[in-house]
Amino acid sequence: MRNLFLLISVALALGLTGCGGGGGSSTTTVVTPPVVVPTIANQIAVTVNQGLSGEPNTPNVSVTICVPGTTTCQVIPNVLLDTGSFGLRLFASSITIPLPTRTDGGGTLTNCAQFGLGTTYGSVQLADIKLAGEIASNTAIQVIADPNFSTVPGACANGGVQVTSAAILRSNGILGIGSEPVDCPACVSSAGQGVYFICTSSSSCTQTTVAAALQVTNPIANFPQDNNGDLITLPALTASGATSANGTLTFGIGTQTNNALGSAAIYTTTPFSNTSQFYDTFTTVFNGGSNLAFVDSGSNATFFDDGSITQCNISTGFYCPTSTLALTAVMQGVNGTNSAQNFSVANAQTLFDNGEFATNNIGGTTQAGVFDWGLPFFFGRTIYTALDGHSTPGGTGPYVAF
Amino acid sequence: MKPNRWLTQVAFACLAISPLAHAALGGSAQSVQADQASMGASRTAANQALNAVQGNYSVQSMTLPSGTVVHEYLSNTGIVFAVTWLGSAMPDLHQILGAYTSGATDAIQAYRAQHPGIGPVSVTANNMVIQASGHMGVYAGRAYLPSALPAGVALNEIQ
Repeated sequence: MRNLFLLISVALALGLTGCGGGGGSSTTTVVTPPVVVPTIANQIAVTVNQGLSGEPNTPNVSVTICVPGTTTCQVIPNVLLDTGSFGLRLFASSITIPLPTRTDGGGTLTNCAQFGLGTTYGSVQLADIKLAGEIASNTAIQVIADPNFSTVPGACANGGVQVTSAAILRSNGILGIGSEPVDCPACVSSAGQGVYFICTSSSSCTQTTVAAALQVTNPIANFPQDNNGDLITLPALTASGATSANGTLTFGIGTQTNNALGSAAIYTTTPFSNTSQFYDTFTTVFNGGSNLAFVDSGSNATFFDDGSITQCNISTGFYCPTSTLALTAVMQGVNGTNSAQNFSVANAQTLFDNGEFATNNIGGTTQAGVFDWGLPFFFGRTIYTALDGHSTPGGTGPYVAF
Repeated sequence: MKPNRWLTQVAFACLAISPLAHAALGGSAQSVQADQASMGASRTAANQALNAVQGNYSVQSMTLPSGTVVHEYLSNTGIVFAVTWLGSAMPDLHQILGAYTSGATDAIQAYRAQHPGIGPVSVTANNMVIQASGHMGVYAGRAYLPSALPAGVALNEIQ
């Protein structure tokens, strides 16, 4: 902070010198030094490659966690970057530093998260999360499969199949940087979400409400600056895909020179304050049908319902047309912004068999009424995600923009 | 709306004896009440308004304590052939899937072994299809029995 102040002071002093020069002798040449803008490093690498998972379109990042307020830190690589969830989740078995647990009301807080019929359960612990120069201090994370809380409460277990190890997830964790600042806004007033439990022993846990300030938190929301959202940039790909692709995750929207909105079109999504049922979604019209839609880096394909497209025999759930399909769907923001988006669906089995870990044309089936713009949509774009209730130069989040 | 106390007690008794046989999917009209009771769901006027008969089936709508809305699709011949959900919390899949739970669990694990990750899932198990999508706090999904679909019902009506 002191250095920051010093830099600003120097810049101001130099600026004043420049102004003074303008009023003096006409022969004086004033050389204005480049404006020194104090910046915080706000960008980390995103790698879409074989990673631990061997599954195409898995964006991986490295995350540094530290015991709060100390220099006792650990780097955890191969963490899945997910704009469809909120907060950092790591497996207990991969954490080697002693993190404190979060207590609330006389017990330890535990957390349950649902991902595509998979469920992660474990204690809430506190860490300083470091991403480039950004630090989310004393931030609540989920520690999955904490051996101290191995009995999964029924309200968590009944929501899906337990994901208990990095070997099962085939990632070391999940970095959720979607539009919500915390992982369960509904839990502030409702205990029955199956998300938060207060435990007086490893097997004695009851559902509880939890104040937002105590919940597993999107680390971006806890940065002192660059805390209104993020942008993900991934390179364009050819139709045949690539074995890997390198991109960036940049923090903040319109807060530094490298995260300006520019000409990106803003598609607002529904804020949580309007509905607890379908927040952070917008509309996508496909084949004449209106769909609940969202943009999700944690989904590895474009998932939509079209019964006319042949599904794969081996990779069930994915589309395997005999020739690549050129399709169009119309995105509609809550603010009325709309555009026709072209996308391709190639034979997913061929892409899997060819070892293409970055592809822009894998499609998969999902239930009628839902359209999931997964990672294929990110290639060749910069996609902005603004946090719910946070202001940006493009308006208040939540929104996606590109 | 207050659930019928006698029916609720019967439902609980049946659940205690044989929970799988009386869960919703593949169950009878009574299983809808059993689900409602087991999950503590309410059926408000808004839910009731959705209960209109759609040709050869009706949609039985209920709201769980979490706020998640569950629709059970009941054929005119008295079989629950599909269940959908949308909301901030997952419903109790064991209750909704009943006898199909273990098959679904195996199919989901097999799918994830082949395609690890956290995206949507769409699998078939024991002649049941289960599909789940959405993002954290917005869970959308459905399970249905293709062989029990009433004649003329299109899959995109189940949402």
